[in-house]
Amino acid sequence: MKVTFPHMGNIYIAVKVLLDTLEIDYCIPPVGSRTSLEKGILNSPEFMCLPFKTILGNFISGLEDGADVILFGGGCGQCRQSYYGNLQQEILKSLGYKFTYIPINFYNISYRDFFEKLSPLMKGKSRIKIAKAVTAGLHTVFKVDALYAFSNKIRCRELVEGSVDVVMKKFEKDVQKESGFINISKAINTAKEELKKIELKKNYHPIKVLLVGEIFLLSDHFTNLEIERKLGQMGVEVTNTMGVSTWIRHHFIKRLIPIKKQDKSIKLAHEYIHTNDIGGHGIHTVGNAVIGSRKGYDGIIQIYPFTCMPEIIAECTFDEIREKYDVPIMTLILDEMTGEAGYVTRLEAFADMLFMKRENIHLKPAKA
Amino acid sequence: MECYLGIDVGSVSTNLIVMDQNENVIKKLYLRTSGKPISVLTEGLCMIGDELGDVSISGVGTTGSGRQLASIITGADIVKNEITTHAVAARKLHPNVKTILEIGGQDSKIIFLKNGVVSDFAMNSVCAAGTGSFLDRQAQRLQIPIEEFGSYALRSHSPTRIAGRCAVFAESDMIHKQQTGHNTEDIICGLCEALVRNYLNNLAKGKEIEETILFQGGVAANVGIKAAFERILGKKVVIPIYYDVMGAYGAALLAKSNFAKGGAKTRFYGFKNAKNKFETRGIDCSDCSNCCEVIEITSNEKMLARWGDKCGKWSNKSVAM
Repeated sequence: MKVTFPHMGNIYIAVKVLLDTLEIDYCIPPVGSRTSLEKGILNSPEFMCLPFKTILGNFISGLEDGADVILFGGGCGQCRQSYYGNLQQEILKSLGYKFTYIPINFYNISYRDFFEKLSPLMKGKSRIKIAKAVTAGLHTVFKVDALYAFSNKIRCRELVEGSVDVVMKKFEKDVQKESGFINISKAINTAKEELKKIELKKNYHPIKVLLVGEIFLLSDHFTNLEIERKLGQMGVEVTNTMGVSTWIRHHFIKRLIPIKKQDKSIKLAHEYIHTNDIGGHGIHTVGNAVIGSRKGYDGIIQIYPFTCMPEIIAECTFDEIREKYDVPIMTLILDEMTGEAGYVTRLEAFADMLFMKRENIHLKPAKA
Repeated sequence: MECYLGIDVGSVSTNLIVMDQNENVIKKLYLRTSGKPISVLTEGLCMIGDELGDVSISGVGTTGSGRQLASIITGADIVKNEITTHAVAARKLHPNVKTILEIGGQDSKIIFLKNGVVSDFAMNSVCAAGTGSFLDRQAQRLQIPIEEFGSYALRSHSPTRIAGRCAVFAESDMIHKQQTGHNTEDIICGLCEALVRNYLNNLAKGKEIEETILFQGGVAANVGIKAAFERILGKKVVIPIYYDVMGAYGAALLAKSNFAKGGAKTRFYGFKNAKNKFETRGIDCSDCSNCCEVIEITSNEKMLARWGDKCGKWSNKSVAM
């Protein structure tokens, strides 16, 4: 038995810890691989979104490398995501692959369901071991996301351009080679220490940009063409509202806690959308944009894959938010393109605009 | 005489301007990129160099989708995106500008300004309908020189309705209308209106378009489109005098203010350098699964730069001239 699973940003690090602790054999599809994506594109319906194609490509790469079990966590709700798993399974079958498919629907899942679903993997493992593995995996998710968030804070302030990237690239390389909770935690800690050592510009005040939008693109550096890195190097401090940890918190941990409290972003979105769900994380996109505007971010960028319905609906509310809070919001739509010129132009122009806007505001009171 | 050079390497046109100390354009070149940005750019530089003789260039700015490439070849002091350069140029010529409509070869943009500062902008996202290259193609198909395209539209009395949503739909609509007997003038006028409608739906998205409105970019030469904008907006649309080289003009202005701020000596390699031979070569790196397409540019067998790799292994080896 050999397990494979799709990439979604840095989730592979946590899944590695989980499977290592459980002593289950696995193979990870190549990280950020164009070849893998192309396999997905070739076998997907044409107007399907980029996350679907990327995930399918990962499955194919994993199966080609000898995996016979696919582990997939898909959300549900009104987005097409709820049918992704089924469709991907059918496509893979028609391609002639033999495999066991374990889809975990995190939407409304109970703990019992969760362990039942995973039972083919858990045979002969003690409950303690399983609990230990899940805890270690979850712990890793939060640690890794915190590391990336920290790198964003440093990157925009680094004195020597590229210092953060050197650390993060080394980390990404090392972590793929490491295994087990202890070693991976060590790699994360080392990277964090290295980041702390980077020399920063003195008295530099970066502009602050909030990223909102579709979760797969926001958390996956390969598919979002490294938006955080690109903006960071322009001197912009980036805050990403959707990481893998957000997803785990939404779909997993919140179900653990008996107190049901409505998400703040959903509550704030109600001013613009009178329902709790528009599919995917569309409602959170709206709410997060409001939160960002109130917190005084200089600008907001929404990214989503071409044809993503929930995000298209969310985008429609931005005119009102823009007007109410006088905050620039830019939407970027991504598909399978590799030419980055247009993408960089938009990011650069957005950052330029925010810098110039701030300078102007700063100048005004001085003149008066 | 101290001058500044502005270069805009776009998908359809490559523009070069030379600006004097008083920010007047003393020489402008509008060349077709024709898919060969390097040779067109070097030819343009040679032409300017030959004509102006011994002007001294104090600063160079590049813009457009080929701005990085242009900066490597010329040794630019400032490399800026098109939105900023267009806004800078517009503000210089018309200080009260509130809205800039810009339609170029492969993209179109709308820029809103408040008190001379860009407050919002939008670029076409996933569709190239309604850009210069689409108009070019239609003019070619109808065998009308692109320069006369607009005047055909002005002669129409009842524009034909054309779907502007998508270039493919628009073209099949045009062919259908032409085969049912609509005359060319009405079809062209209909196309201009469709293009403007698409532009306003896709980019302006209901935002207030306030005067002064400037229309710039190569397509501003098309009187049919200008008329369609004025008809649909019900407002006056102004075409600035350097409308076709606004990006390059903005880049030169930025190079000048950069020079004024820092005062550093320009990195410009000189017009003579453009006489060198520049060559590019694609390398398919197969060291990892990313399979990056690396581009290498050389001059006289000396490697100038490499880019296109994700890991930085190739681009780190780049050397400046």
